[in-house]
Amino acid sequence: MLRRLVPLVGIQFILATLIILNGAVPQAPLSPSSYFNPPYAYAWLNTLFLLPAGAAVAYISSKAFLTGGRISVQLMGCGILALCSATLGTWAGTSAQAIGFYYIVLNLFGILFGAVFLLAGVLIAQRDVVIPPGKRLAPLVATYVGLAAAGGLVWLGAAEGWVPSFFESKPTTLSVEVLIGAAILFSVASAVLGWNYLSARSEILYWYEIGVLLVLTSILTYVFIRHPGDPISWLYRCTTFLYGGAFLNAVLNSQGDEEPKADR
Amino acid sequence: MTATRRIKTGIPELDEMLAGGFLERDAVMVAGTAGSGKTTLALQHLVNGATTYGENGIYVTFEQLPDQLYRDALSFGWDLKALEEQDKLRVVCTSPDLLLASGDGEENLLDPFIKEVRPRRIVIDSLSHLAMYVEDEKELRRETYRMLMYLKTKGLSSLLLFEAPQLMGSVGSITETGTSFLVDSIVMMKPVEIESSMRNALAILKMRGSSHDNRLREYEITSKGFKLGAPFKEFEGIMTGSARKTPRVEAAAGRFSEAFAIGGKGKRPHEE
Repeated sequence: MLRRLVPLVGIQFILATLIILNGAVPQAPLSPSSYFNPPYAYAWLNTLFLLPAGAAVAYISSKAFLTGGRISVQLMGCGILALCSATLGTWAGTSAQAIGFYYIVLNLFGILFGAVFLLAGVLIAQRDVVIPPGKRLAPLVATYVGLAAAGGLVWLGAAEGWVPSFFESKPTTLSVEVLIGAAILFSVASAVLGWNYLSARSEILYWYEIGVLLVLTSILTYVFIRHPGDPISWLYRCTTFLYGGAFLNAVLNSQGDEEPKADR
Repeated sequence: MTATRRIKTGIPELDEMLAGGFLERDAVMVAGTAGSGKTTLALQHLVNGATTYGENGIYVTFEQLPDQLYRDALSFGWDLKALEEQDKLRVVCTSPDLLLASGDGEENLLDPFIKEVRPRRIVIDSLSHLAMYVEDEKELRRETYRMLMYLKTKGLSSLLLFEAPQLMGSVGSITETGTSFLVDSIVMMKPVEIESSMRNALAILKMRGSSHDNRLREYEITSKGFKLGAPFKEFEGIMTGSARKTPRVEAAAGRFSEAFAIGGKGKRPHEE
């Protein structure tokens, strides 16, 4: 009962916050000039709702990898971290140029990296690849260093103008293509995770799957937003902040009493 | 696929651990130290079978006189005499050598009782006493096998009580008895020391042909009988005799890792 109640409380809290901030936050990130009215509100929301979830999933995934040696868990954790931490680009600056160059580029690449890592993790999980003890630290460091290096390169590329434009007065065709590509990867990951959930019925898998579905919805709704404040933009906003809660619930459920696999 | 019929113990938490109960006609070894509650568990299994599930039973004891058993059972509210009068139960007090001697081409000692009550369940209390009447381990295995085959052919699901000599430390003494491979399931009961106090732990060490809960759970003997409690989830190393608290983060990480241990084996403990 408690396991079901905790997420409900979380969802209600998030929705209540969104309603309170309704007047202060733009309805959809289509207009750079309204992003920071009031200052950094969007960045605060990202930091509050997404960063803790990404950090928690990455932490428990790393611990789980060091304990059980399943590289799939580490890759998925990195994927969620990339997805959630890339939204921190909203702190980059208040100018339209900063938003266009840093945030959009970083966010899009975060989503793409997130999708690639997550799908890789989910697919590897089907083979249950276990790294032996003593050989786990190197892959752990490699995944984080690789992720940080990729993020740094994207940031540098955005600053130096090496990467093509993803945002002008509205998202460019290229950004839509990147998002659709990421959405396809998330769809495959979601289908496989959903299938796994149906056979394992684990609460952790359940919330992971819900999180991935919310990410997928968030990406697709972003692509189809036409006017700030329209229902699709609201769906985008809600799903974006809710997926952090879903991933956090996956972590919270690991504190509980998951039933172990059976012996025969 | 036909679902295998289960013999419920009538103790809900234990039946849950056993994915619904023991498999029909299985031979189950209940191993534990003296005073661990083996007899109580076995009696409750028989009484619940007779009163709740319509499955009559026989209790074969080598170590207690019937009056002693009636008195002990009555302290839990189980009137064995009344069940005997209703032909739902028989308490057979005999000597192991008589049981072993019977059955060689002649009627088995248990045949008349089986005819009388048409049982589905039987308890042998205990294998340890049986062992005293055979010359060596090889002979014990042969005699145990013969007895188990007899019980199975009669359609009986049996509980074989076994007194494990080792009080603390590992469970090696149970699995090394030489008879453990003959049985289909092993339920282990033992006192454990946790934070300087004695508690009781139960585990299903083996259950052939079925999934089961592999967690170690606490139990107590109450005035109403055997009561199974929660798993010892905060401790590890209990079976080795040196229990220590599992670090919370490590335990969570372990559960998180297990959740993704898919690899085509993502079945829940109680699924078949």
